[in-house]
Amino acid sequence: MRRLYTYALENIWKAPHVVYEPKVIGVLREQISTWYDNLPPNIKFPKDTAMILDPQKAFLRSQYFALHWVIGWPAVVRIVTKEPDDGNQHADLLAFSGEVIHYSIAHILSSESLLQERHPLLLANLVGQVLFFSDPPSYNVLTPSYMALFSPAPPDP
Amino acid sequence: MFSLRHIWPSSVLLLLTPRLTLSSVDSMWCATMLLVTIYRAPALEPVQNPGTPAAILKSHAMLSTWAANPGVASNVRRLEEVMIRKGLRTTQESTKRQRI
Repeated sequence: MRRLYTYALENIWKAPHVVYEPKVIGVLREQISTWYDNLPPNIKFPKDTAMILDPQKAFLRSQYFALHWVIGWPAVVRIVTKEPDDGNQHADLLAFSGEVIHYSIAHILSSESLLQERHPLLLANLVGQVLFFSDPPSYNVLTPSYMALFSPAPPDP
Repeated sequence: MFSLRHIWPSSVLLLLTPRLTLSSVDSMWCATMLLVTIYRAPALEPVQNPGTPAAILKSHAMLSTWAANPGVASNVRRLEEVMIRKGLRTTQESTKRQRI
């Protein structure tokens, strides 16, 4: 995935401009497809925007959608800033632009698994720790003699 | 003993996850800015998606929950400026949120 982003940035996003090259977009899309097809089953994610509780799958899926709109963005810039050369190019640009919009929406909707469902998990862990330290029986475990077990031995006199 | 074992694994969740989370917040903000920028663009009228406004508003709601972070707050303000220009938000709504 990181390598695919690098390819996209090197071949399409040449600051301060983006370069519209339909063949490059096609090659990158094939590589993304190959990458997805070869994912190990334990981290393979569905391509829809349903909630995923597995953080690795959720993160990979959001990056997958993001990469799709990243590689298609030059088509949007091209169609907005310059008249298409002919009807075929106009049709291609519209198709790419439609995909960009589709994947941007998918990226946003799929991020919900990362940004909202993580809150309960994070807070549960925070609250769990606070309860542990505020609960008297637990707190009593942390007596000086108990904590001394984890401290380096005092130097010999 | 199990209490201690609860704390150490939690450090992974509390320290490492926010890095991924903030990267997700930033990338989602980029996607949202892209969407709101080309929303109602005449050249893209044939391929506009009816789900675009809902996605933009949802993203704005999710980003707003992270607005305690100054970087995210700045991004939310920039997003709101464009949303107002595109008719997806009113000036009064932005002023009200800033007061809150």
